[in-house]
Amino acid sequence: MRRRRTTGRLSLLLVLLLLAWPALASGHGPDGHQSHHDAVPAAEEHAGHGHSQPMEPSPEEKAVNPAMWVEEKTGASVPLDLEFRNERGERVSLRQLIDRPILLLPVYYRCPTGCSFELANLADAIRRSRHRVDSFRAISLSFDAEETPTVAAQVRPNYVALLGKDFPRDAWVFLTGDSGAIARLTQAVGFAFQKKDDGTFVHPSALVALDRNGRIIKYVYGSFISGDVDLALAEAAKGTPASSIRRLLEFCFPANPRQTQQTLTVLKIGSGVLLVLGGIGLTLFLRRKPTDQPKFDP
Amino acid sequence: MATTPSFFETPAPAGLTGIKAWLLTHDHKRLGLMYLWAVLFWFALALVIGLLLRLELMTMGRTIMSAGVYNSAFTLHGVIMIFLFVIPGIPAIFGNFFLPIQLGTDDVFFPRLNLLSWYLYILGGLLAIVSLFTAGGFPDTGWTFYVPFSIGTKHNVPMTVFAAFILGMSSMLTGLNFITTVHRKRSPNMGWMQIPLFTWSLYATAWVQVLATPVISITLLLVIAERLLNIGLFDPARGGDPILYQHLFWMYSHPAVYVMILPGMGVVSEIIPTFSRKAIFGYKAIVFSSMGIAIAGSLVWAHHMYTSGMSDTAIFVFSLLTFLVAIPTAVKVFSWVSTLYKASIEMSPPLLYALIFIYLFSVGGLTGLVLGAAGPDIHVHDTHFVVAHFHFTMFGGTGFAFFAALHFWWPKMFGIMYNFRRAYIAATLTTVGFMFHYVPMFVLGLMGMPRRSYDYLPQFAQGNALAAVGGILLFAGIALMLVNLLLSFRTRVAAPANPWGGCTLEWTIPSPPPLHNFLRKPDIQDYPYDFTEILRKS
Repeated sequence: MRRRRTTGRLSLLLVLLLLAWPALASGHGPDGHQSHHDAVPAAEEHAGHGHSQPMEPSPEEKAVNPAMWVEEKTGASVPLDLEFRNERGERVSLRQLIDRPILLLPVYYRCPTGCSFELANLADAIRRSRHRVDSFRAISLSFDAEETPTVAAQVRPNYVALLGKDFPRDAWVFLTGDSGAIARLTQAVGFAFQKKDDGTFVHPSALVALDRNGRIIKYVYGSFISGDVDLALAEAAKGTPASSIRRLLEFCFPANPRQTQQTLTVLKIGSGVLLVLGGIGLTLFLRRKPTDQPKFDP
Repeated sequence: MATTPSFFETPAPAGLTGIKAWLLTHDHKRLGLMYLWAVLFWFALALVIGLLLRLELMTMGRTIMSAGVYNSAFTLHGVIMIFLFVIPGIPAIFGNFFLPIQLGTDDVFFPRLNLLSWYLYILGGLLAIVSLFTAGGFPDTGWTFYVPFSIGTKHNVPMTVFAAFILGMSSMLTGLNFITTVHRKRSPNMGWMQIPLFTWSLYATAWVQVLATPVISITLLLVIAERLLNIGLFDPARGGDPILYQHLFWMYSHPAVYVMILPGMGVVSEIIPTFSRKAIFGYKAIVFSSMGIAIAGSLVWAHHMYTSGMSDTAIFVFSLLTFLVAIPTAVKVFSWVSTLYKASIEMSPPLLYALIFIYLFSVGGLTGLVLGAAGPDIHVHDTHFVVAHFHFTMFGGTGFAFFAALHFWWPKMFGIMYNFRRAYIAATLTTVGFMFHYVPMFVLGLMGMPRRSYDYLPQFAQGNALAAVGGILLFAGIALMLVNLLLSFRTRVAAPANPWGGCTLEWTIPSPPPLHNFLRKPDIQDYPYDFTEILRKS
């Protein structure tokens, strides 16, 4: 009986301790800012390695949500005067390109991980689309200012090949540009990215649908399933900003196998110890005692 | 027997009266009923939200709500249904009420902890709802709240995960109680292979609850550690790995899927032999398949993540393991069907619901294989196919098993019978509505209609209109079923101790049971589904 009471009290104590926790965790109130302030310099430190500051979410945004990688700006317009270079090295302005519904995909072409999936997913969505290929345009934008039209020209055939020989040449352009233009465009669509020391980037995976006037209509997340992309294109054709469909925000980031290995080793040892101790404890506890007798009604 | 007061008339601890006799009770039966009303409240709320969602999708564009409200509504529908209805439904209500009785004992091993579990359930439920509406705007992430890397919405993610943890804690403590009760309070004459199958299923479930729930609490600890101590665990900006969050989330949430379905399978394993008047086919196979599902089901979490970035080897292994879960599941389905073969079947509302369960769950399970195989999953993930699949398993499976359990044990819990005719009509209406509601979603998914979509293209209009009509029928059927059960309190037709001719221990005691369940030490049959005595008496 005494043991039961102790167990009950311990559980209650545990629950009360845990209850006090989310207030700390979510960083509410004046005290909560401490954690966010801590987070900002860390992010700035990374961003400081050779990349433009404006692409980071502002401290104000971070204070609301430290993981604001995509800030939806549906209804806003992108600056049409921005100029980039296409895969043939020609200077093109957004005004020239945005003459029909647009699917804008920010990536970097020399990405060793997720960008190739994003580009392939976009190619697949275009292939399955019920819209005519000349009724919209796909734009891949490299946010790495060091990438050149030559790199874009090397990468483009890999994905356009998935769309067949008849796919019009200008229906999918691969842009590169200077850091200023990149910053203005990615900021305009609320897309954040961060350069790492080794030259790779951490960035979310998001496709932005624009109407023929450059207005942001919708964001598409996940692996760009054809239904989502088709709906976004239909809405972009109508020109009415629409609410995005909530999907998991996928990331493209450089993996660190060594760090993962260390974590896994700790996890293995921890789980092993816990299992052995738990197993011994349960075996002792679950053994029937002579006092375990039920009562009966008179 | 007739002079023994029921548990309704005997508060525990003694001396408590009125509402206190309920709110401070240690009696597992009263707690079971307290769960019943709480769970039914949440279920009714989520059902209405579900109907509104379907009405919104009835026509293209805006029908009855805006896109923002729609996103919030489907999150609420999912969170309530999963965490407050499907997970706790059968174990907390019927497990609490019947597990000690089926084991021939007077209560669970930790009665006070049992009460604490109920309060945690209520607290977790309220916290989940409050968290969804505080800290800036409505929720819109769906029940998986892929946090903290969801798209830049400003809602209260840690609090929502914390609420899920509290609810998990509640079900974990219930699981702990069930495990200890099975081991230490089981009637001394009852061997492991004399335990009824419903209790076996709860035992298997309890292990999953006890072992899987800590994962979500560890995840929560890590999220907090990341935010407070600035350690890079999940946030890629700090060198963390967002996929790790998904792994940890599904390490809890996928086994939770089996926490949802295993007790339902246990209910059906009780109902089928009772109305077949025949020993269940493959008792041991069903017992081992329950444990098999519990073990294998804990190893397949990553099949939710085929498109999130995994190595091909990992995808192959998880796909294979997912297929393995189908084996013990099929063992159960074939055992039920074999029990029915050449049996003296007596139709009744619980049996009808159980039969519908077998059909709907089989469809849900088979379509699960489509999603479990990595190849087809790439084509149908995030479409309405997934929505249809999990509603077939969770609603057609657990939901209908819950309805079957309600109809099966209602006379025992309250000592009153309900109207059979209305129950049959309700079951038929619910099933017809269900089919019209969810079958079009399979087709829509294969056609490419995304899930969670507020609007859709013209080619999906017909299917959505049909699904809406089905949704209305489904809602009407469930409403009729619940009204019929509630009306039994007005008509109060007394139920006998054993209205169905069952042979597990709950049918040997009065309806409703007395405080300590048994008037004397129960006789334990050598085999729990031996109908010889029942048939001899009839």
